[in-house]
Amino acid sequence: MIHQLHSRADQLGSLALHLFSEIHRIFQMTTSMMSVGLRMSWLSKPAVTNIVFRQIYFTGVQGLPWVILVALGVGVLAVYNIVDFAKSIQDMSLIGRLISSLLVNEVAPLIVTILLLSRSGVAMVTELGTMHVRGEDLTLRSMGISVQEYLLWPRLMAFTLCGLILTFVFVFVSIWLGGLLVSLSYEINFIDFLIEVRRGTSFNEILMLILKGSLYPMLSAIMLLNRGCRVGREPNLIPVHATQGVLGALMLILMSDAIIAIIQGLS
Amino acid sequence: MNSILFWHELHLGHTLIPSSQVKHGEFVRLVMNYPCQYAFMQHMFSPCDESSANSWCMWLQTGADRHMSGSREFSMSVGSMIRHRGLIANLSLRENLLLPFLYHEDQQRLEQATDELTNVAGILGITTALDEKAGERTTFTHALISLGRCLLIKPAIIVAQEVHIGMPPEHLEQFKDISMHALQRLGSGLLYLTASPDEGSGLNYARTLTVASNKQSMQSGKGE
Repeated sequence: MIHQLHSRADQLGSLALHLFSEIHRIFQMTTSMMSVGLRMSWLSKPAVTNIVFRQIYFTGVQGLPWVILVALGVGVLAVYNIVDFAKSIQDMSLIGRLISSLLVNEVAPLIVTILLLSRSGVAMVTELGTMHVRGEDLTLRSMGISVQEYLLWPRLMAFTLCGLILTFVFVFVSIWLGGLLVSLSYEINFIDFLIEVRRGTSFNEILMLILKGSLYPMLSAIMLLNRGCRVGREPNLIPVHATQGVLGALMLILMSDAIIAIIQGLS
Repeated sequence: MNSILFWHELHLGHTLIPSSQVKHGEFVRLVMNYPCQYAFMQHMFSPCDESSANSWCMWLQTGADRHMSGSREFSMSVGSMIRHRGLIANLSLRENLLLPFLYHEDQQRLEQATDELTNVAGILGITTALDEKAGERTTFTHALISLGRCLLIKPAIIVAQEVHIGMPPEHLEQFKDISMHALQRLGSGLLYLTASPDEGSGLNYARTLTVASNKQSMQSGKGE
């Protein structure tokens, strides 16, 4: 019995130590990335700006049609159900409030981050992992190139920036196109619908959209970059780290969403 | 101006790499196993903290200037040729050759390197392939690109591993010819990392340092 307890305590202790060392590692990686990124010296380095443009193109531009397509589907479903519900209880003022608190504040940042994770997230871990397997990190260091500045910062910045922009695109497409399509087949005027949406949206909700729209992609990118850098020299570990990275990022954004909701509830 | 590459004694587990130096134009051979070679290079390319007493350091002395490892000046004065580590796969061969210049914010050297690129590509025999994406390439191409980068940087010292290992005979001969010509043209010093004293590179070494794994190292006066 005592032996079993000791063994459980050992397991718990090693798990806690592992967790703390992982958090410490992620924290160190994030601070080193931020320090080279916010110094802004990368702006004058064509090698780095080239990677930034490529990442923005891959994450933002190539991901745009998917975001528009999903936003259209989600927008039509959300607007149709919300308008239907508001009409059934004969309170049209609910349209704006529900669209603002559900679609704008909760669904848009989450869906955009999930889309980014499934499209660019896996690619990010795989690309970084392959570079480590090939020993390209040593090649870069041999030329005096900072791995943080050349490999990690452009990906973090592109993921965060594109995440924020795509979140706004998602919101506009889902409200405008969703509202337009529903107004064609339903008993609601499109202008009245937009007026209700405007009435139900406050400045704080826009700020919350900016916070969530940038925080979730940033946290996801940090988790993915950490996983990509941990592949080492084992090519068969790339899919393992890609899966763990995406799942870890999903858990992280759901936890962050819950924490933000609790803080909002308390204030 | 003559430059000298210095490094401190380095302890790698039970292995001791002695402190030594390589002068401009001098060829020095360092014989040790592959794990030690990679560990040595990992240390060599990491930033050196001069303020810490325990920190291992490698530096390039050029007149009164001392360029510590990891610094921009060090990277642009010490070339490297690592076995099968010459390329970044998602860049073109042109970008691979110009990468240090595109990163290190030196417009004048970037323009100079861009001008010399056609000539260097001609020496290497890759003129028509310059805009191809690197992707997966042979050991020969990795070695050629590393050498091409050295030709563009014109380093005071080159640190080279046995980049020719694994090349088919026809490529091996071709690479030997190109690299001998390049070394003569550059006149740089060479620190050659090899696992065996019978590596057959055909170079004439001034010194050979042999690293044993029991904390004893030997030094011989003449290389070959």
